[in-house]
Amino acid sequence: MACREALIPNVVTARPDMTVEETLEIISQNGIRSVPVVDNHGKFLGMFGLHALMDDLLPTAARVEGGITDLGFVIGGAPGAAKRIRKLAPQSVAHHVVVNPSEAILSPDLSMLETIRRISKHGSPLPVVGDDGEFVGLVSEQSCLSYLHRVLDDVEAEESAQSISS
Amino acid sequence: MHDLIFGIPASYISLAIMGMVYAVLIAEKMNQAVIALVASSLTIMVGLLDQEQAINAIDFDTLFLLIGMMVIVGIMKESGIFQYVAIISAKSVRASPRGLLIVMSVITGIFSAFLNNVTTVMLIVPIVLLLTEQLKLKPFPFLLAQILFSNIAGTGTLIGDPPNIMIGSAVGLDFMDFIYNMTPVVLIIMVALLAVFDFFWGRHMTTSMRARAHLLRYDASKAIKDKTLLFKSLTVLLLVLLGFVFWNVGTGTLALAGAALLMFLDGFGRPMSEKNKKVLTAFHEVEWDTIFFFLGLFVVVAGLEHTGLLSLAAQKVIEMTHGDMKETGIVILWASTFISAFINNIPFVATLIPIIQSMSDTFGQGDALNPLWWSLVMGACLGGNGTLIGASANVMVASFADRAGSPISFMKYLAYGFPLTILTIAICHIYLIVRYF
Repeated sequence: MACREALIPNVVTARPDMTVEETLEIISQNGIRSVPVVDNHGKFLGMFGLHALMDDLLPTAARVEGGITDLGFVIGGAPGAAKRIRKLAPQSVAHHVVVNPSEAILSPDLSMLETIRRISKHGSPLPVVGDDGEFVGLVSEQSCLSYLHRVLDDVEAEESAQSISS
Repeated sequence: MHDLIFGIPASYISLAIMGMVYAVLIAEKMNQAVIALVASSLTIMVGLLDQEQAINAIDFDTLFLLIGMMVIVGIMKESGIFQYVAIISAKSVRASPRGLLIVMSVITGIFSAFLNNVTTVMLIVPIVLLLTEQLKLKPFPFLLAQILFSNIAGTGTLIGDPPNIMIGSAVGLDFMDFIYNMTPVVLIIMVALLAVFDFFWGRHMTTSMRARAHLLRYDASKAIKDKTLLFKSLTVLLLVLLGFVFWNVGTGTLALAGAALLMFLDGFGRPMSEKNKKVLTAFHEVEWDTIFFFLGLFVVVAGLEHTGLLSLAAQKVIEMTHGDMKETGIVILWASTFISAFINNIPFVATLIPIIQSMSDTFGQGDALNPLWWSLVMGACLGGNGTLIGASANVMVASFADRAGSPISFMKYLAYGFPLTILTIAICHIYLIVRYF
């Protein structure tokens, strides 16, 4: 019962030489919120997602640690944020990749309960990466739940088989 | 205390302990509180002081004043007052870059005079960066001004900078003594530096009318997160300041009483669990490592004092200056400036206090020594502007600027900060001669 059981293997990925605009198109076409960025050798570089993009749209003073925590007083800031999208669009996605903390990168052999704990702490989906840093796939809340439903079916089947035999 | 400890003169041992504190602080290899506690424990364990003497050496008035003010500021900052005042000030100059440089420097000065410098810059610098980004201005002159004005204005009041608190408490100089003696020179320095900043940077700054119009749309009232808390905290701060001026019960007592009153008011009418949570949050605002750093230092310096080494140092200084008060004051001013520019001014001031006190045999008791205390206040506080590591506020601004992608290198700061520090000390030099000698 390891993390690989809940793995989504064939997921859409982005290359680091793609622009932010191209990567956003991939996200939009596939109806997803984030995409793993993987180099030509299959090595996982990080995630690029809408959540991280929101952060890039903020003024620097609100993005950095210890910065402004409430921008409620900035009236009429939307054009500035819109201009930032225009500025970001041609930039390489590699510059906007969020490097996951080590705990938010899963290994295929990680136990299922620890996988669930990390998703509960760091959100979903989380990348699954092999020992050599190669990208294996993603694990999401849905894939975990699907797996657990399969486990539950097995448990119930086993229990009913035991009750019949007894 | 024995003259010899383990066969070694006690003065050597106490000097070695103090040297260890300085060395570790300069090398930045250990937390300041830990090294101060290690050194103070050693001072007692080797027999330089016994525990009772060590406890008597701790200046609780200083510690209480620091703790009380940290709690008050910690609660007050949650109200959003810093952002509110910054936005109002920016709008008052119609968002002109030249005016912005001046008002941001002035409000940092005003806050720093009454509150902790680090807290002030920590809360003002992010808003300064937001405003400069909005107006598409280079942030460097603004950040440089934040550092300089926070340290300069802190020199002007008893509670503006920790060295003032230490000196005031040790010598008995009260809030009004500082206002009467230090605030005038601080105002002169601020005006002079504002002129320098305007000449070199302010008058050359330009921005678009569109950017200014955008900034003028900021709604300052929305920066206030909690109006009730703002009212409560400003009332308590005012009461504490009035207490400093009119009620001679001890500044530490007044600050702690103010902190207790504000914690009570902040929790008033809330469920007990929430009250407790708020009190714990308020105590988290106290920089406990600074408090224990002070505590340890008081003991280490007392150990040094008991060996007679500091009296000896005082005699040497007096010999060097031929027993001339004016010359001694000027030496203290410039020496403390250069030393404070490179090392933490707190242990330096803690060491200098007993040295200057020992000079009373030559220069007289009581108020006769005051010019020397003012020399030390100005040198120790303003010297912190000399380098990027000279004061905690400098490090805090540099760290934030770095994270925000506008790094200030040590050398770049030195190129501007050091000459400006020399200018401020030159003004102090003239002030000392005109007013006291």
